[in-house]
Amino acid sequence: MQKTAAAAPALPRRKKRYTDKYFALPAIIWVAVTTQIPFLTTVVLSTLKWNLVRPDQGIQFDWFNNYLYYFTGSGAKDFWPILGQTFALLAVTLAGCTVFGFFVALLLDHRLAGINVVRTLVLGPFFVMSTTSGVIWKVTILNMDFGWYALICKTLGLQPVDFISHHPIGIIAFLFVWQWMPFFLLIILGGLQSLSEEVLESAHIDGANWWVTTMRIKLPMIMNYMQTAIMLGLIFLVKEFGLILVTTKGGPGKSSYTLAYFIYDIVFTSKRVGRAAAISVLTVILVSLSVNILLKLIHRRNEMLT
Amino acid sequence: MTSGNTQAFKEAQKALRRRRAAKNVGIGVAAYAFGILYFFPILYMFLTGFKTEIQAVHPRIFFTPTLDTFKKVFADRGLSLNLSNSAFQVTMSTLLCMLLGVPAAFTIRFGKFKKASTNRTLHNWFLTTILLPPVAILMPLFLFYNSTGLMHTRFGLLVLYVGFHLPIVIWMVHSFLTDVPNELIEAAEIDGCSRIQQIGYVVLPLARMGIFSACMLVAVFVWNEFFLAFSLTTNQVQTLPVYMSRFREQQGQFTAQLSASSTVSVLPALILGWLTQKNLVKGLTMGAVKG
Amino acid sequence: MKKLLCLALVLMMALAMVPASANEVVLNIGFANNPYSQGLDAVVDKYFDQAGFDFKVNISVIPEEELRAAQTLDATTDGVTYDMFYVGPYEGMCWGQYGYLEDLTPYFDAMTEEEKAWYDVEDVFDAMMKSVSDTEGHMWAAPFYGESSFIMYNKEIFEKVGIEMPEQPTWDEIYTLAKAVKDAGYTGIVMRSDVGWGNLGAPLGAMQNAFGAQYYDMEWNATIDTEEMRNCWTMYKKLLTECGPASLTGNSYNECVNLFLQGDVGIYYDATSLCGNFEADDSPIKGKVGYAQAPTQVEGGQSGWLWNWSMAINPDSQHKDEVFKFILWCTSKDFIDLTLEYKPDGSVTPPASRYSTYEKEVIKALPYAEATLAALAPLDFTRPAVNPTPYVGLQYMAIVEFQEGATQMTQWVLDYLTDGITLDEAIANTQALFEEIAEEGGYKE
Repeated sequence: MQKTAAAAPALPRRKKRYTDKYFALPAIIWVAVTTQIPFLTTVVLSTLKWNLVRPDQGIQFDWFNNYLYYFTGSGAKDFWPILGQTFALLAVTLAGCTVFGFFVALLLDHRLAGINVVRTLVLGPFFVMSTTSGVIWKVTILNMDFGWYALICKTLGLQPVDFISHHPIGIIAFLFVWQWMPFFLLIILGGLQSLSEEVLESAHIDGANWWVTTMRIKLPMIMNYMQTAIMLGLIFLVKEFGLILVTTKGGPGKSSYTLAYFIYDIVFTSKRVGRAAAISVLTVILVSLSVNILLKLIHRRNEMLT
Repeated sequence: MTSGNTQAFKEAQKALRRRRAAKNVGIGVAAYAFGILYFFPILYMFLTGFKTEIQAVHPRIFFTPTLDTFKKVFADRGLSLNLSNSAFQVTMSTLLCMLLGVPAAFTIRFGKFKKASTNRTLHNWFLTTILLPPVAILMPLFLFYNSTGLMHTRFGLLVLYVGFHLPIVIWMVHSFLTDVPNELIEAAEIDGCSRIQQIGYVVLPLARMGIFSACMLVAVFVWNEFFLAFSLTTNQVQTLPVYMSRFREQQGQFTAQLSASSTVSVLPALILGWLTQKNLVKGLTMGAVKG
Repeated sequence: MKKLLCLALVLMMALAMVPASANEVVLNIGFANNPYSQGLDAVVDKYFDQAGFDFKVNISVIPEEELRAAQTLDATTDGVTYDMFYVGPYEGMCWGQYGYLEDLTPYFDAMTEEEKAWYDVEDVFDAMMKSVSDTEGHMWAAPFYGESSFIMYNKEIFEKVGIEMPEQPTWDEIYTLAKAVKDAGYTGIVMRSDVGWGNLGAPLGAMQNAFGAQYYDMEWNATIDTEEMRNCWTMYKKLLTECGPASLTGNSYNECVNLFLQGDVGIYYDATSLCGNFEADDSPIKGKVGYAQAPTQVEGGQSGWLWNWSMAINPDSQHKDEVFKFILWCTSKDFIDLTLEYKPDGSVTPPASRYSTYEKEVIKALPYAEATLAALAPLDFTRPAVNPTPYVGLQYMAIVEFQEGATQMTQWVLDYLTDGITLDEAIANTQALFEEIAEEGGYKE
C-alpha cells in the first residue's frame, strides 16, 4: 500500500486524488439524515418540558430535569425496575442463546446424511417475523383453554401454569431464545467448522475424552465467534419490540417492559416528548457502553492469541 | 501369529466401525428429534392453515385437510395489499442498500483520503450507527414526518429502512472485501479502470458471495421489521408484520385463518433464508470475526 | 461542506415532494375495531359508490388503543393521518378546547332547511349528543352509536345450577352467583383484563362509581387511597381470580366475547353493544342469554357507563367539507336503513344513536333492545360519583391527562390481579400518579 502511494505521483491520473469520498458520500448522507440527525434531535428534545396533549402549557427548556425525574423523581419507581428487567432479560436471553446454541452446534457439527435438513429446521424460527411467532405461540401453544401446553399438562396430570400472567419475563426470554438461538447457532457452527482437523485429531490420539475436547479445546478456540454472536445478539435484541407487544403488552403492570417498550409507551400514552427522549438517550448510552465493553473483550482476546 | 493378529485387528476395526455407526445413528436420531421439536410451532401453524375453524379450536395433528381457509384468507383485501407493501419495501430497500452500500464499502476498503485514518473512521462510524435502536428516534420522526406529510407513506418507511440497513450491508461487504488483495485493485487502476469499472470487474465477481448474503440478510430483516412499520403506517401502507400483530384483535380468535395468513407472511422469508443459509453462515461469521 | 448542505437540502425537498402527488380527493378514515364499527366498514364498503360522492374513502379498521394513539398524535402534532376522527365522549369533551376537533356547529348551521329536515338532529339520542358537545353549545362530533354497560348471563347455566339473576343486582350478589356457577364446574364470570383505560379501565371505572369511589375531590386532591377504591379493586380481583377464566390477563372484549360464546361462561359484564354477537344466527348461545342492569353497590353510586363512537373532523384536514358530508351520511336515518338492508336481523344496525331506530319492528324485537334502553335511561355523566367531583364522565374523566393516568392505573391493577404487587402498592402508585397529574396539569391551585 505504501509502495503504491510512493509510486503514485508518476501516474498522470493521480491528479484527481481525493475523489473517492464521493463514492461513500450518498451512503454517509443517507445514514446521517435517517439516524444521526434524528438522534441529535432526540438529545435536544430530552432537555425540554413538553407535554404534547397540553399545547396551552407550551414548551420550556428544562435542563436535565427529565433525567432526574427518572433517576430520583417519581419516575424512578418505573425506571429502575425496567432497567433491571431489561438487563435481566438480555442477560438470560444471551446466556441461553449462547449455551444452547453451542450444544446444538456440537450436535449438528457431524458429517451425517441429512444433517442439513435438521439445520434447516432449527434455523426456521430465526426467519419468522417476531409478531407472527409471538401470536402463534400465544394462541396455539400457551393458550390456557385451547393450547398444546395446557393439553400436554392435563394428559400428564399436571396443573398448567398461566405463564403469560405470572411469568411474563420468563416467557419472553424463552421466546427470544427460541427465536435467536438459530442466529447464534449459525455463527458458532461456522466457528466449529473452521477448526482444523489436525488439532482435534491429535487431542483424540492423546486420549482426551469428549468433555475435555469440547471444553478445553473447542470452546476456547471458538470464543471469538461466541463473543461476536453475543455482541450482535445484544444489538438486535435491544430493538426487539413486536414480540412483547403481541404476547404480554408489557404487562401485567410493567413487569415485562423493556427500555424500548418503555419509550414506545411514553410516546404513545403519555405523550411527554422530553421524558421519552430522555429514556431514548439513556438507552443508546447503555447499549453503546455494553457493546464497547464486549468489543474490548474481543480485542483483548485477539491480542492475547496473536 | 501374524495372521491371527491381523484377524484380531480387523475384528477390532469392524467393532469400532459398528460402534461408530451406532453412535452416528444415535446422533442422527437425536438431531432429527430435536429439529422437529424445535420447529414444531411453525409446523403446526402450517398444518392449522389447512383446518377449518372448528377443527382448529382444539390441538390435533391428524385431520382432513381443506383449502377453504386459505381461500378465505386470500379473499381478504388487507392481506394482498400488505403483501404487496412488504414486497415493495423489501425489493426497493435491498436494491437501494446495494446501490449505496457496495460503493461505500469499496471506498472504505480501498479509497484514498487526505488522512490515512479516514478509512478506519468511516468504518467505525457506520458500525456505531448499527447500535442505534429505531425506538430512540421515534419522537423526532413523529414530529418531522407528521409535519411533512411523510407519515403513512411507503416512501417515508423506505427511507428509514435504507438508512437503518445500510450500515449492516457496508459492514458485511467490507469484511468480505478484506479478502480481496490490494494488488488486484492497484493492477486494475494501472490498467486504467475507473472506480466503477473496478467495482464491476474486480469486486463484484470476487465478493459476490458476501454481497449476496448481505442482500439476503437485509431482505429478511426488512421483511420482518416491525417497529418502524407499526409506528409509521396505517392499513394502506402497513407491511405484513403489522398486519399480523393486529390480526388477532381485528378478526377475533380465528386460529385457522390466523395460521393461514401467518403461513403466507412467513413463507417468503423462510424460503429465502433456507436457500441462502450456507452463504449466510459464511457471511455472518466472516463479517463477525473479521469486522 | 457547502456541497453537503446542498445535497441534504435536495434530499429533504425530494422527501417532501413525494406524497403531494394525489389528484383526487381521498379521505383517510380510521375506525376502532369493535363489532358495530366493523359493520359500519362493511356497509360503507358496499354502498359507498351508490351514495354518489365526489370523493373516495380509504378506511382502516384498527385496534381501539392504536387508533386512539394515532389520532391523539395527529391532533397534538397537527398531522393528518386521518381526515376524520373516530372519537368518544372523552375526546369530545376535552379535545375541543385545545382546537383538536373542528367545531361542527357552523357546518350544521350552513345546511339548508331541507337538509336539516332530512338529517333531523332532534332524533339523535339526547344523552349521546350532550356527551360530545360542550356547555357553550359547540357540537364537536356526531354520534354513530352509543352504549352503556349491563350484565349478560347464560340462562341455561343458571337454570342448571339453580340460581336466579335479580333484575338489578349488586356486586356482592354477582360474586355469589359467579361463585356458584364456578363451583358447578363452569367459568363463573368473564370481564376485561387487558391494559388500557378503554379496555379494563371501562368496567373498572364504572365499578368504581358503583362502589362510591372517585378520582379527585372538589379541590383536585387525588382520592385513590380510600376505602371505596380498595373495596372495588379487591372485588375485581376476587371475581376474576376466584370465578374467572383460565387465562387471567390479556382478555380484551374480543377474547371475552369469544369465551362467552363458547357457552360455558355464566356471567359477562360489558358493553350493551356487544350482545349482537350473541343473538346472531350462527351464535351457539342464541336465545339463551339473559340481561340484567349493571350492578350497583353503595347507595347513590352510578352503575353503568356511557360511551359512544362519534365522528369528528380533523381541523388540519384539507377536505373538511367532504368529511362533513361523509359524517352526515354515516349518521343519517338513511344509513340505518342501509344497515338493515345489509343485515336484516339488525345485527349491524348502530344502537342508541337515534330514537327512530327503536321504532322499527326488527329492532324492537331484539331481546336486548329493552335492556339497552333501560340501561341508558338513568345515566348522568355530569355526576359520576356519590360525592361531587370536579370532573365529568362516568368510566372516564374528561381531562386530557386521563389517558396517561388511567392506562397506568390499569397496569397496576393488573399487576395486583396477578399478585405482582400488593393492593397497597397499587393504590399508592396510582395515588401518587394522580396527585402528580393534578399538580403538573395545573388543575390544583
